[in-house]
Amino acid sequence: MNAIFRKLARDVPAMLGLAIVLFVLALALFGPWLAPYPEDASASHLLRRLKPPSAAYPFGTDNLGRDIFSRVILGARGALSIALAVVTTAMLIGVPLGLIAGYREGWLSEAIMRVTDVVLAIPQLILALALAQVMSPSLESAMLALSLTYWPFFTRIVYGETRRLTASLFVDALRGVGASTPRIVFLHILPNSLSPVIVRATIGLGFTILVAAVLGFLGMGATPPEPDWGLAISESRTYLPRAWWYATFPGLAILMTVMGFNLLGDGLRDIVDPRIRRSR
Amino acid sequence: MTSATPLLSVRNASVLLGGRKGFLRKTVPPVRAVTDVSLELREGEILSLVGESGCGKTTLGRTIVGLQRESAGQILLDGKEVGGQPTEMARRTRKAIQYVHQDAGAALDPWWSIGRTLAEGLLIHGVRGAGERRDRVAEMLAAVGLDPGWGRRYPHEFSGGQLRRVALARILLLKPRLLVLDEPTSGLDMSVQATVLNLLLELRERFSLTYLFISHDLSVVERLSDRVAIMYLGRIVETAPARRIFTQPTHPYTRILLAAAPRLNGRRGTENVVVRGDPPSPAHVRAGCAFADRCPIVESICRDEVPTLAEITAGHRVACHKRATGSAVMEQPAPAGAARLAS
Amino acid sequence: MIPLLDIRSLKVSIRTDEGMANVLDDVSLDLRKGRILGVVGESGCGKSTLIRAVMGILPRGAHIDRGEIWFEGENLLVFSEDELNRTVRSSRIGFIPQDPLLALNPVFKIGAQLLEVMRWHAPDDGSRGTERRWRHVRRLVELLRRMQVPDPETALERYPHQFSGGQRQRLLIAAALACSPQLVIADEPTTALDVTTQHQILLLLRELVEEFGISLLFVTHDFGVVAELCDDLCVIYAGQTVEAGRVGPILEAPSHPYTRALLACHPDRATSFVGIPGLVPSPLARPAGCQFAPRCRDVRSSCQAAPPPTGRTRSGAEVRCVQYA
Repeated sequence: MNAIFRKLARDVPAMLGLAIVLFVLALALFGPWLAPYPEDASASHLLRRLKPPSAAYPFGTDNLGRDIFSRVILGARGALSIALAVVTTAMLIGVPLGLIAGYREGWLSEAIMRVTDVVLAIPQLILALALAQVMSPSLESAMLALSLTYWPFFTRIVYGETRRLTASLFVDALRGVGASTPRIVFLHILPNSLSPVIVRATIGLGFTILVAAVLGFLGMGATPPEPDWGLAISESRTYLPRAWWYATFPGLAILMTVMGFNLLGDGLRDIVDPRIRRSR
Repeated sequence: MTSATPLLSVRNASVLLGGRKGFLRKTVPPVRAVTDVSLELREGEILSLVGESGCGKTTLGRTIVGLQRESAGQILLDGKEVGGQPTEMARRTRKAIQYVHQDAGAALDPWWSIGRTLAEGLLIHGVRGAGERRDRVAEMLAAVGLDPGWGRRYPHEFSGGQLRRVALARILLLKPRLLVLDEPTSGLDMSVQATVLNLLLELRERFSLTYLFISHDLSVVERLSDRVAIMYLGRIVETAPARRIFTQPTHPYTRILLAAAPRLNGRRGTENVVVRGDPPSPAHVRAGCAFADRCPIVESICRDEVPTLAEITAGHRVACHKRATGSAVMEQPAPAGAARLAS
Repeated sequence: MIPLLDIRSLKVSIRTDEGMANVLDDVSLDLRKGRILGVVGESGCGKSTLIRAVMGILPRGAHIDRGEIWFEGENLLVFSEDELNRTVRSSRIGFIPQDPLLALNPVFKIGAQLLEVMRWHAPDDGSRGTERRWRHVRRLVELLRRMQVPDPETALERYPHQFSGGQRQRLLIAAALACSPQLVIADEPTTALDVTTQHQILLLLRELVEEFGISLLFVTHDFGVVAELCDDLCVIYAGQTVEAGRVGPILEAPSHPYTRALLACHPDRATSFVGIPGLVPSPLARPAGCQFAPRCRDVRSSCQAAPPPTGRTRSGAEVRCVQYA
């Protein structure tokens, strides 16, 4: 374990990613106490509308006079919760399917993988949009739509790992010792296939935040007055280019967060992959 | 050490491998990995299965263990039928037979501590008390020469030699009587090989074990075995007590094999034969004797009829049409430059 | 007579995550023309690094601390990468790798791969273009026939997976000989083969050495193979040559305690299986004095204090041991 952390520590971009992720996590957890104007999650102060960045309002104010700095901080909670909910649901669907498909060859395995292929072939954003339209636009429907489009990535990974591990020597040895199939699959194959799943989940968190922001931008996700980053950018359109701060800071928040997850995910992948390749 | 009933008895076993029925996929016919094999193992002895790639020795070993299901024939343990079962069931019924993989380190789950891995076997076979499991694991670790306190460590913290001991410990905890060892010394350095063989002999002594030793290393087989069975393309072509096989090999393939094996102290036997071509693939079905294509003393009957294993003297059985004519001369011109490989 | 290959006191270190590994500490060997030299050692002794040093393909992070590799009177270590490619590799030193499957590109036909070697490295005989290519093809077919590869003409049109392991190894031997090198280095070429196939290949190599007058540097961990094939022997332990000389005398009466202990482990000689107690010292922490001292049966007090001198036995073998100084 220590060797892994040391290796990760040497990877500067990955450390940067980790720092960003931890920072955003802190914002999400402690947002209401960190934001200077926590009431601006919903309150409006029309006298302060569209003020440029200043000492009192570091990111300026929006069209309802709300402090953008506070709303960006508060928005972190929403962004991360969507991301976590989506990725977790996708894993709960995708991982078991991958295990089933990978362990034993047969029509069930083929069926699962073909469905996976089909869903993967559809561009995620478009599918999410379509689903969000069918169900009334809301944060919940956005989350469901994103989960339903993301699970195939996990299935594919777990399928590959399960197939590899099922053919491995230690699983053969387990059969030799008399282990039953459920024991082999859940206690042995599953833990061994988690490394690439964690990598994918990390990158998925970043990706989900981005897509959720897009959905929010298109009005298919969060609804006003939620301090959602995508929604903020959408609302800012009418006031550009004069109130440049209105779009820029939420945008930078999205950029930084997604980048943080991607850098961390890349770093994790670099550790995981060569380890897998090196070990038999 | 002899008892009336052999510990293990295999009768006319055949194993077909592979084969896929088409529907969405191409139909692939199964391969005859093992054909009509019969052998017996008496308690306490070491029987070596020797052969080259494609001979079926590994498949036969795995079938005896139950990791592979036989397509025909019987397998008897202590005289009782134990064959014809799917893997999970077979492994419960044949708990007295355990399989030792060639690469011991890879046979352990990298994410489990070795203590947990060792205890798992006991848990699977009904040892309920966690305390009892812990005690037995510690005892066994000491028995194989490892520190009993190392149970909390993970496979990657051990050397290759130590992992081999861990893998053996795991199997020995299940109180087996017969171990099927798959090429335990392949690819090992000489000194490590000696250590492994020493350990195996010690354990055999200590736990009253019987070994089915699968190997292609004739030097090791000669030193270690009580009896030897030579396999070629899924069949046993010769079987005899070890000393006899090495001093009076009868089957042409056996003689060629012995002549080919590199030896430290000069040639084995008096022959100087080189066989043509490569070991055959079991995917191609043949009529007659499988060795006919490469046999230096082949005759027409060999291509028509499959020879059966028959005794020529006590305990020595050969499957060859020419066995009755004694050791047929197989000399080839003494090696001299380019003429040597001319067949 | 100047040896064809003369390695003198080679010392190579490689930078690893855990520090500088002194992989080769003091390796010397000499190979005469037309002879087969077996390099024997257990895992981790440095044999692979030795071969890579001769071929000039040491990994990044490897550093040659000391020593020379003289080949036909020239020090290979001063050659540039380009010079090695143009004038040495394949054309003067051929290489037979351990695993033929890994050495061949699975998506190209054999002919294409072998011809590529010849295109870059075959000696210039004045021909050009198509004519030159045809000469190469003819030479390859001739070589394949000599290697007993069935149907040499059509063999060139096939892919690696269509051959058996033994045949693939013959193809690689043909590739190594294609450009008529003076020296061929074989890295455990028969370890992955069946017993009977190995026998064929060893005989083939012996014949080729006699017929073509090449020298063969044969790396292996199998003493049995050395006994059958090699004229000379060089035993390596912990990055050092510990014993070197003609095969017969050494196998009959090994001098260095390590050689003796190792040969005593061979099943053909062992009275019981014992192994050698202790472990090989790690290249990251080489002990002072004799590397084998901690495990040596004949160890004396002086052995761990100072590195042992190299002496000669009665049969002319060189031994790194204080008993023969």
